[in-house]
Formats: sequence, structure tokens, C-alpha cells
Amino acid sequence: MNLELHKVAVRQLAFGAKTGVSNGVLTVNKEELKALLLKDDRLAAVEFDLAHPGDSTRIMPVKDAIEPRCKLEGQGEVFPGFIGPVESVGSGKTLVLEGMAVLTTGRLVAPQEGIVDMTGPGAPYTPFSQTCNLVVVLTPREDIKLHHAEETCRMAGLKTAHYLASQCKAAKADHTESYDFPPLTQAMQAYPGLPKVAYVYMLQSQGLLHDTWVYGVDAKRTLPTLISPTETMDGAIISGNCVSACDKNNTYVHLNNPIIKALYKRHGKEINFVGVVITNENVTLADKQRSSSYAIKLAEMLGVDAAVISEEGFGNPDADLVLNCVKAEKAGIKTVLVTDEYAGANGASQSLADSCQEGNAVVTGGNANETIVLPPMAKVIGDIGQADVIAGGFFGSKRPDGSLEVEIQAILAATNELGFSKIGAYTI
Amino acid sequence: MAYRVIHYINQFFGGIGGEEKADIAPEVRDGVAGPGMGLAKLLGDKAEIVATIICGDNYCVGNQEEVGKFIVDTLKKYNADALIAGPAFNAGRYGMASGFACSAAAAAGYTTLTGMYPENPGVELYKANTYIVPTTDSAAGMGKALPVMAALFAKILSGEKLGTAEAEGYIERGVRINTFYEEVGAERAVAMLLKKIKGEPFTTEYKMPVFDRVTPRPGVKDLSKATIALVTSGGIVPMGNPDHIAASSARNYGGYEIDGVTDLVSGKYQTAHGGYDQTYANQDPDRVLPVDVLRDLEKEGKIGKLYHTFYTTVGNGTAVGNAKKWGEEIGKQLKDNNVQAVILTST
Amino acid sequence: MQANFTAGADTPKQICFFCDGDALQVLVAARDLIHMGWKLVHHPLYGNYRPHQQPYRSILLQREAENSGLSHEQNPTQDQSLNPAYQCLAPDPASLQLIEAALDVYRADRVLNPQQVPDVMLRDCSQLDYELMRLPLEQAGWEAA
Repeated sequence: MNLELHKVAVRQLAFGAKTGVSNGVLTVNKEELKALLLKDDRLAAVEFDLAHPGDSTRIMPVKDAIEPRCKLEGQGEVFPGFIGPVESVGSGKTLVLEGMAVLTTGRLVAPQEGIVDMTGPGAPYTPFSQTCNLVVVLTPREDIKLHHAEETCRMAGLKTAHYLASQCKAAKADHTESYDFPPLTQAMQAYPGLPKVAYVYMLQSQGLLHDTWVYGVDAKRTLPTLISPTETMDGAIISGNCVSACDKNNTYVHLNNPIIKALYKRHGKEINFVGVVITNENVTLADKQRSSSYAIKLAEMLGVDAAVISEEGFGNPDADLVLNCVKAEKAGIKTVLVTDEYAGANGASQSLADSCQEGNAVVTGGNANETIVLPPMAKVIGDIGQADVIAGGFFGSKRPDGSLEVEIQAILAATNELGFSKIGAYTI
Repeated sequence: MAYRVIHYINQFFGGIGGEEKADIAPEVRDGVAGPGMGLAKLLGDKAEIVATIICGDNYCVGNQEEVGKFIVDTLKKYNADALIAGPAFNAGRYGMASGFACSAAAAAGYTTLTGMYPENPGVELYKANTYIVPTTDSAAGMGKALPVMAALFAKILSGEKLGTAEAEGYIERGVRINTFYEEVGAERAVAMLLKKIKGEPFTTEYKMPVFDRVTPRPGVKDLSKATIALVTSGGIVPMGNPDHIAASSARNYGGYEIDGVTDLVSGKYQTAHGGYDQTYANQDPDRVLPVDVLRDLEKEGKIGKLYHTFYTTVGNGTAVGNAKKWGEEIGKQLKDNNVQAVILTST
Repeated sequence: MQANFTAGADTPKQICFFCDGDALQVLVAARDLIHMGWKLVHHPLYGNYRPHQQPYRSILLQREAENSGLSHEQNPTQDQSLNPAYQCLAPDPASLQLIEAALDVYRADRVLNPQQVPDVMLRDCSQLDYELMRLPLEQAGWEAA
């Protein structure tokens, strides 16, 4: 398989008569997009807003972040199983509107969090303070069930991302990236002197608001399996995870998986990046045993020397991380783990809910319990009522001057466990 | 402008007395006392020890709220910026008192530092709250400890961000601090894995804690035939505490015969534990070491018999190393004497 | 909330205890049952909610039918000395470790009480607890109503 990403740079967003991109400015026809989204009658209302880096704007609560992409050439369409048909993706050419994100917001459940500050002390903690954001403010109908509301909001984000990219197919790419994923027979024999490395990609799969989909299939219902890294670039993995803003993997980070990027960077030079194993994080103990054994068996079948293992979430998935690590190391596969920490407000508590001596190489996205004071912003996009929830102590507290004192857990992607950001921790 | 520092020391280093003066309430002296003299010289013009708090170790450990308030009030009264305590070397109660003093001050927003032997129980209890410089186990190491304490203290006072424990020379506090690295996590992870693959040294960003896991034994099949022993860390001892088991930071444990004893009565037994209100345990020591109930069960034939010796220590600021060693020794003695099961009581 | 689940025709029978108290009390009750030999079906810390963010917690435990002492007629809270459900079997070390780790997490945080939660949120919290327990309940043989 070979996938070319045609990246069109977006440096500014504007509303206008025709959706399209020119000279780095993406114009969005609000009415056209609104009509498209309101075809789903489970939505009572939808509004749009814009947020640029440096604006005194806060967006909250954010459900998902998606990068606009669509197929230019090749089988299927992006977000297979949702936008695209269930045909395999990951080859041909895909258009990417780089430098922007679609952020969906709207009241799903209380309590709900996910803060993006476009400026101020909170900005460095989220990658979305650096993207031009089209915010889709969704109001699901009052009378629909919660899981339908979640699905509606999820689809609205994907539709928006696909729509925006589709209107820009004629645009010339500012730069192109090419990714090869040869058949395993070739891959296993290539670069004989280099260590074979696999990526074990753990997906959150606990239930409503904690789910991930692969080609439209609930990851909870799957056995671990192989996937081409190029399939992830076409949106084969979709996030339905909207709890714990700091370490939920938005669709955006699935599309732009930094571990895949880092492995490709060294592929053929220092390592032979042989493949990706996706696995899940079900709550039942039997499933944890089954999935970890199965995932590591797949890694063994690939004959790898080492594996990067990334987690999503915290608490019970720490058990899955440890199982994957122990089983891999026992099979002679050297591991590095990528996770985040809940070391308490004072940083002195045990960072993970589980531990193993085999886990001797660990990279983390930092302590999610670190607190930060977010000053008031001139504009808040989303559900303003959430500020009261925050004041109620669920995610922090509101000070008399209007600033929010929160744990960085409440900031979108603050401690991302794909290693998306530079944040980490050390012990004193 | 020199930083204003309060020095906390115990009754011994304050020149008041030894063990017999461990119960004295805290008092303040202007300027330096004891090791404060050496410390002040080393701090030079960076910081001035404006006053010294002297407090009995037992008093501090037993009256924490009051002592904590005294310390914070003194810091306020002298317009101080920081508190330095000890060094306590391997004196367990002094280590706990020094650690506590720093914690109380730190909680009120003051910069703090202390020094003690790494195995001092004060380390485990308070390292999360304050910087602790490692010292030798006795005051013979004073000459070595003070310069390190002074240098590190000056650094912290000046607001300099400290590096890791290894780099700066303090006992690792086990506290996680967030930082922005040069590279994104994914890059750091792949780079780390490459080193691991090549067998090159690498430093993990997070050390997984290793737990001393003990697999539980299977249940006793027939209790009515079993010999059960009683062991406690609740500090129950014969009246007078013949083996002088300390109220905290115990250095020993005791084994006492209870052949023919059906009930622990007030006046014949007492508690030595300084970490809880002793009233109820002294009224009826069975409350902590249930000899009476075990004798009943013996009579009723529910258990085979109660072992003729009970083992006891005080589990208050006990060094983990000691607890482990004593557990192994007691366990061996019980096993050699065909005891099937042991009931461990704590408080 | 009342169970929306009914026992399937050929599944093990079930009992449901409602705990008087908060989520921490649920974990303590589960620990006590684990001490008696009941095994965890799922990880006690399911969901990405912290103890101060979600007032509800449910724990599903199981053991072999002949030792479960369960029947529709018997009220397991009475006559404990006769009921096999309360007979002590060897505790499962994995369940023990998991429940103690969960208790550590709950003891280190402020535990949210249902009384402290506004009604509109309570409904959502209860629904989410149900949704996250779906898979364990399904796998243990309960069918959603």
C-alpha cells in the first residue's frame, strides 16, 4: 500500500459565500454546512464559530477534534464506516487541510469537560491552541437517548471535516508526504540488519462516551488485529471517547498519530517498522487477558524485536498496559510504554494504578493532577453552563475574579498518551 | 538582603538534655544554638538564622498540632522566609520531628530543608513535603552534612529550580513534576526504545514502583486443630515495658509468655504505642491484643490452641527495613514451633 | 437505579445488593465479598471518572453456582451462617489486589455523594454507570431489558 498525503496549509478561517481554500484562507459557507448537518433530525440546532491562535477565546466542553481530510484517489473514502463505505482505505492520495481542526462542542452529559484556551497559560497545554479551529456548537434534541446524542455529535464532526476537505479538492498541496506499507512478506525481509519494531496501539473501549470505532466496528467487540499505519491516516480509527480531556485520543490525534510518524521517520535507517497491532481496553478481566495475549501473539507472529505500546485513558487501562508489557517482555519483545500519570495534586501518589518490573522504559505525558489557573477569556464558545459545573467542584473551581482553577486533566490533549506533546514529568 | 531562617532542633542538640528531656515543650531562642552555629557560618551572607526552636522529640511527635502552630507562629513572628531542621541522622523520633516541622512550615508556604540518614523513618513520612539531604547515621557526620545542607538550602532560597535528586544531592522525594521536554513524547519513546534495543543505557521517565508482593497462604483447613499465634504492632507489652520498646521508631520487638493468661488486665499489661490515644488500650489491652477472645475460642474448641508466646512491637514510624527483618524472624520462630496461623493486629 | 436487567433463562442466578453509602462503601462491600472468595468479573475502576466526578459505582462478582447459595426464594441477607454465599473460600489474589488498589484511589480523593449532585447530572451519572457496566453484565449472562 502507498498513501500520499496532500497537505494544504490553512492559516486563517473565515465565513463566506463559498466554501473553499485560497492563499491559506479557508472560507466556510455556514448555511450550506448547517443544512448538511441538520439533515440529521436528531440535532435540534447547530451553530458555528471560529477561534484562531492568540484569540482570547475559550472553547468548552470539546467532544472531539477532527482534521479535515478526504480522498483524492484510491479506494474508499475517509472515515470508513461512517462517512466512507466500509471499503479498505489507506492507499492512493488523501487531501489534508493542515493547520486547522474541527472542534465539536455541545451539551451531552453533565459533568463534561474539555477546555481549549487559544491564549494564556492554558494554551501550551493543548495542541489546538496552535490550530485554526472551526467550532461546531451542537444541540442534540432533548428527547433522544444519550447514545444517539453521542452518535449525532460524532457524525456531525466527521461530516464537517469531510465536507470542508471535499470542497478543497482542487487546491494545490503545499507539501506532500508519502507513506509506504509493503506486504508483510516484503516488510519482514527488508533491511535485514535493522531491528524489527511494531506499534501496539491500545484503544479505549469501555462503553458509552468511552468508545473507539475501527471501520465502524465498536473496538469493544473486536479481537486485536493488524492495521496498516496508512489506514489510520484515512480515519479508519474514530474516537467516541469524550471523558477525561487530557488523555482521550481525539480523532485528530488518531489521524496524526505521532508514534507512527516517529517510527516512519526512522524506518529503513535505524529500524524496520513492520506493522501496527490495534488492541482494546475492555473492563472485564477475561477480555483484558484475552486481548493482551492475542495482541502480543500477533506481535510475535510479526517476529518483532521490540514494540512501542501506547495506552489511552487511566485507571483500569493501566492493567491492560501492564499485561501487554509483561507478555511482550516475556516473549522477548523489548518494550517502551507511553502513558500518562495521576500522581495526585502534590505529585507524590503512585502515578499508575498498576505496575510491573518489566516496565523499565516508560515515557509519560505528565501528571494530569497538576493544577493550573486559567484566567477569564473575552469569549467562551460552547456550553457556558459548564463553568458552573466546574465551580461545583467536578473539574476544579471558579475563583471570584472568574478565573478557573483546574487540573490539567480538564485541558484537551494535555497529557496525550500517543506522545503528541512535549509535556512529561520527572521525579524530584 | 539575606533570607531570614528559623532553625528547628531537638532537646539534645539544643543543649538542654538527653532522652530524659524528650518531653519538653517547644521554646524559641534568638539567633543560633547547637549545630546552627556551623550552619550559619556556611550560609554566610546568603541567609541568617534569626531564631532557633528547640523542642523535645517526644513532645513534637505527641503534640503535632500544637507544635505545628508554634512553628508557624514563630516563622511569622520573626518575619522569616524559611525553616531548616536537624540534621537528625538516624534518630528516629528526631527525624520524624524534623520532617514534621518542615511539613508544617511548607504547608504554610515556607521554604524548608532538613537532613537525616536515608533509613530514618522521617524520610518515608515526609520526603513528599520537604527536601531531605542524606547524612551518615550518627552525629559524627555533622561536619559532612552541614555544608551540603547549607549549599542546597541557599539554592532553593534563591528560587533556582532544582534538578533531579541524583544531580543535586538530596534524597529522592518521589514527587512528580511536570515539564516541557525538547522533543514530543513519541520521539522520546522511540529514541528510548532504540537505546534499549541496542543495549545502551537509557533513563526511563517514570520508574515503575516495585511492590514486595506476598502471596496469601491458603486458608487453614481445620481451625479446631490449629495453633494460632497473636502478633501485634499495636504496642501491647507487660506493665512497665520491660524491653523498653519505644513509643515511636521502635528499635526492637518483644516476645512474652501468656501460658495461663486468659485475659489481659489493666495494670498487668499496657500499650507502649505513642501514635494513638492510649486510654482504651490501657483500660483493656485485649482491645488491641485479643487474648480473651482467643482463649474463649480455645475453650469452645473452635481453635486448637493459642500459642504460648505473643510478639509485639510499636508500629509508629517504624523503619521499613526493621519491620521486614522482625517479620521474618518472628515468622521463622512461629513456623519452627508448628504454629499454623497468626492473627496480626495493628491500630 | 433499579436494574433494567433480568436473569436469562439458563444463566446463573443473580442477586443485587444496594449499598447504604457512597461509592467507597460499594468498594468496601466488594472487598468483604472478595475476602469470602467471590471473584471480580471486571476491573473496579471502570470509566474515566474520578471519585469526585461520578457518584455511582457498581461491582459485579461471581463464583461457582454450587457455592453461590443463590436462589430466587432465599434472601441472602438473612441467616448468613447457613447460606453458602457467605461461606469463606480462598480469596482470589488478583481480585484482592485490584480491589485494594481501587480502595487506595478512592481513599486518596474526595468521594462524590449522590446527594451532592444536581438532579439533571444524577440521571446522566446513573445512565453512564449502567452503560459502562453493560459489557460485564452481558458477559455474566444478564440480558438488557
